[in-house]
Amino acid sequence: MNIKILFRFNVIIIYFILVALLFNNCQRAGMPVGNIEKLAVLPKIDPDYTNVIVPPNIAPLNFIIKEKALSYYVEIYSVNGSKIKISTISNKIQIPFKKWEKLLSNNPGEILYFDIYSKVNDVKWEKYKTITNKIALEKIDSYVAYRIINPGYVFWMDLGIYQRNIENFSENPILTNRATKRNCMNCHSFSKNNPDYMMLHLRQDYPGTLIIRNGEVQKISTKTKYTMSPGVYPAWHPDGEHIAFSVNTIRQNFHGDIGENIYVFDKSSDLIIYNIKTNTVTTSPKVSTDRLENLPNWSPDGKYLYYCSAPKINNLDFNEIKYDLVRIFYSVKTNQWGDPDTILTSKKTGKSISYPKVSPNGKFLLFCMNDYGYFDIHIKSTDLYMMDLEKKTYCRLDSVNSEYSDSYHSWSSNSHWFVFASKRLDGLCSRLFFSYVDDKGKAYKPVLLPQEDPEFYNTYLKNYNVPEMITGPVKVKPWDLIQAAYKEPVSVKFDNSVDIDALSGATRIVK
Amino acid sequence: MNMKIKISPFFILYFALFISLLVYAYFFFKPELYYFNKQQLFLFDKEYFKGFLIYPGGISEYLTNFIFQFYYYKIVGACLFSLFLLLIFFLINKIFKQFINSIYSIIFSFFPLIFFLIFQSQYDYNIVISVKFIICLLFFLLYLRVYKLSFIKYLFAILSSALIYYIAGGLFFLFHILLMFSYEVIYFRDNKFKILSLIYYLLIGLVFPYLSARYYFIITYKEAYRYVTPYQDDFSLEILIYLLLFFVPLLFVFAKTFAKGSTEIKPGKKVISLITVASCVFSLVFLFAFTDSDKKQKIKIDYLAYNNQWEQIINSDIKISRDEILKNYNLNFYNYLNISRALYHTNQLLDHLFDYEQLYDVGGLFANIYVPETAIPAGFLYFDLGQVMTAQRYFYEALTNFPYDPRIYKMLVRINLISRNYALADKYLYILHRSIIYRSWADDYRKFINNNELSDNESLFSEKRNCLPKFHYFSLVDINKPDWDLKNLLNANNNNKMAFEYLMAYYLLTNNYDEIIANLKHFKDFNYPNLPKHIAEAILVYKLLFPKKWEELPNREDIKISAQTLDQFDNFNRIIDECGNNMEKAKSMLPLELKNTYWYFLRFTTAELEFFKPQKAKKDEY
Repeated sequence: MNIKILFRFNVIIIYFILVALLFNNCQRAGMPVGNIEKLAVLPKIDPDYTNVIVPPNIAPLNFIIKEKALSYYVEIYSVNGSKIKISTISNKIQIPFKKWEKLLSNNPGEILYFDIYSKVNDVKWEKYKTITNKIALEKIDSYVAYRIINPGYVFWMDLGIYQRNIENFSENPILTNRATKRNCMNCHSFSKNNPDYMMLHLRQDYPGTLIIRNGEVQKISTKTKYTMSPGVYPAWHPDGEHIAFSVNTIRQNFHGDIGENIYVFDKSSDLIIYNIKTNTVTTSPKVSTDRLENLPNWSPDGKYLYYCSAPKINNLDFNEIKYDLVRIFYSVKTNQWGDPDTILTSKKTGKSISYPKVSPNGKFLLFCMNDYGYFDIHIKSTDLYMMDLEKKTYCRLDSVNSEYSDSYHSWSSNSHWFVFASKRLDGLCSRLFFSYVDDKGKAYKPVLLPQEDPEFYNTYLKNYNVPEMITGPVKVKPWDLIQAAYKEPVSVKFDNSVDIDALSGATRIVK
Repeated sequence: MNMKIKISPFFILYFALFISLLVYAYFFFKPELYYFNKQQLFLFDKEYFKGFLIYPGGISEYLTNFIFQFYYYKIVGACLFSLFLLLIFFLINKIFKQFINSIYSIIFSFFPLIFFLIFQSQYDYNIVISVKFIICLLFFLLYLRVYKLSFIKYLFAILSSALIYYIAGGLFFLFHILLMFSYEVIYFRDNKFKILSLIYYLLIGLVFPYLSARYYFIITYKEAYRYVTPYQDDFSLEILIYLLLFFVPLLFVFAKTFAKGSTEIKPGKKVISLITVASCVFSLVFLFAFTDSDKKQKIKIDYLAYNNQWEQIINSDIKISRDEILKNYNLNFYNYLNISRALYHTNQLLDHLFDYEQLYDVGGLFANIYVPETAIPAGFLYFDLGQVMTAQRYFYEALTNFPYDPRIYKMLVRINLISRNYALADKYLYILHRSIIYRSWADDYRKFINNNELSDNESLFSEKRNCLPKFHYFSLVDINKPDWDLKNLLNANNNNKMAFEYLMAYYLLTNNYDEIIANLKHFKDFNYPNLPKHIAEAILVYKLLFPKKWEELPNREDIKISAQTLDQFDNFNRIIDECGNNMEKAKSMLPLELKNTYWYFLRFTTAELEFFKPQKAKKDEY
């Protein structure tokens, strides 16, 4: 009786498999034959994978053909190896993974061609102008870590830090807040693109900062009675032993008119440096002034701390707050500070500078500029700029930027790629784009992070936040991070040698 | 030939049950209110589906969401309501019929039915609980089928447990284990293996959730063992679910007492009718006992507001007591927002605002507490007022807690069409299009995308566009001082009557007489035939408190106050004087018409506002 039931069940399953196969077969729409008209225009495809430089190790660039037709035929090829041929009645082009991988690996530095044919009626095919892209010689770091968060401003619910293997479509959570009372987590950061050196903050519930080093997870509280807040925006020193943080009193206002939605600003901010070994934070009157010091980032040799600095003004004059780009010498060995050196002023640029990031080879400095403030993701005018640190010249990355916010960026470890978050697709949701940088510092039209389903971004409403390139996956398991989160944090000590009397009013001084 | 069709008493029973449940659901429960309260999109979308795979219990929620979307249609909702209950009744009956007399199995089946009738009649109930329960019963029925095949039984137990764990989550997995365990305790005859067998079930029950939390899912142990419904759900009768899940296995014990003997009692129509009637009586008693009328009222008001049935809101007999406010602050806060909007839309805001005791201070008009639950009504309020950017902000905030609420998507479509942000409007339309219920709505609105001409001719869009700010300002910098926004709205469009009335109401609630006096001239601009009642009441107070200012007021002769209001003011003051300092006595002596006045608010309510303010939770600074 039971065996009979099982048998019937199997028959049903086989039946469905056969139907599915049959249906799949019907999807094959045939190759173009007979009358093929050659068009002089490029086909509209979404995402816009045209004239881009493609990492040789990226997942298939699946796309949608936005041209109406009965069926489609696509050939993807380069100089070496065979063509990838896709014939389909759907306008959704999903490229076979293995073939794509082989095509890219056989053709580094070569042109990548997309030939798109559309069947307009029973006898006629049209062939669009060939789309050309280029396969870069240099690989991109294989993983990118980011936060996924809804587009709210004050509230959040499900959020998490995820890592995506750029070489395929696999995405895994590093930590989500489901097991930590839906708390907030942010500002994940890595030392020199190394997934074994990571930190992130937990806010509200289980508050503290998790520091992961070679599989060991520590939880600390960077709040001290001498600093106005716990550490906020982080920057790992290349030695993996120090982390620079800003301390900020962050506020937000909401725009009442059409355009941007929210304005995030600091009432005050300073810089601190945390020494992991001694569990101490230090600062200096030079980076704890009555100006707003913010967004630290180390030079790759670890000698200089780049940061942004602006005078304090009334927040209602929001569009007057403009940050300068400054750097300061700091010796992690002797705890000695140099003098602040202003690299670029907002007076000169007419814009506010934010998120300076020096390339790992030390040649270039990638940064954002916008009309005001520093919270780039919400400022439409934010664009990316590149500075040649040798020549001290900078330029707007015209081929990279869009009419919407193009902001938070992170270098790949070989200095030939960077990832950034852009809202260009709809003005609301930030998406990840990868841009190639040549030896001269020229950046090229970026590639959108590909998804298995090319329609993915049409319905996905969450933001990709703070993308960080890493050379491999974060190996520490979510479970270990959760257990560390449950622990009470170890409080950091404040450096006794700092003359707290000399610090600014911006720093909360309690003797 | 005279053929007589013999109808089974069971058929009659099921039919009668179905019809009575259907009638109850359609006319009394009102599935449209249930749908309105719980509404969410079901999307035919891979990413949407993937969201349900990352935690145990997600699949049944996905399945439930698919079924639930059809509650959108009132009659289908009522049918589904009845069918869930009938299926539970049928499965329980089927299980018990295997080892007890049919008559008792029917009686036993009524117990879970009553439980689920009570559950399903709660507006905060998630029908995923019914679905999970049904899945467990189905698997248990299969288990009983293979029970005699000892090896297969154990194999089935472990496989079905794994499956149920993933499909239905921790608590219903434990229920499944409990069913098998209890059955084994009572009916397993081989004492040699009984202990081993029981240990086997216990181990499954303990190990699966542990392993899933430790190695597979990102969940807590609590969630691994006790997950019932999504965290947004706040089911008031959750304790009863636990009770039920422990009660069903207990029925096995009772069942043994009534185990099948040599004499099978076949129930006749009379017996079945008797049982049915008795169960109905019990059900009614329990339903009455467990009905949350406050919640129903809130949903009803919200439903009427959403459908612009403002008169009906005002005509509803809304009574919100002080105790209710203290007991359920946010719920009634929600009501006040909608009532105030209804007053405005029926041209009564400045005449009848104080018919409802304004214990929420300015919060009864403006959402002055920033919590996810009030984000949706606040969004609707600001959209109504013409401040669409603030409305958008609130709807984004609401998306965090209600990520698939179709109302939010519809409003975001409208707002982005108004602001001509077509790319974004198209995105929301694309999402709505993926729902079979809202597809036609989305297709209908798609015509406005990139079509300025058509969009200009749409009355709602052009009305709201006329209210858009002409210059930059920060909105609601202080959530307790919305006057800045209202003034900006009036600057943008001095015909924005709602902004004007809300501004005047704000001045009344904050006792700002100078501003009221300064704005009197605008009543003429808005073509008011007379000064609204509450404004007149405030002027009389102003006259009394600031006689010098009143005397200096130019054109004060133009301010006409009705004789009735003057009489009422005299009466009010007379009663207050008579009672001296005895406020309670004064309150009791004042007739209703004098209680529904600005004077009462000023004299009595303002003194109590602090008491009714919600306690702010301490925030961690990290």
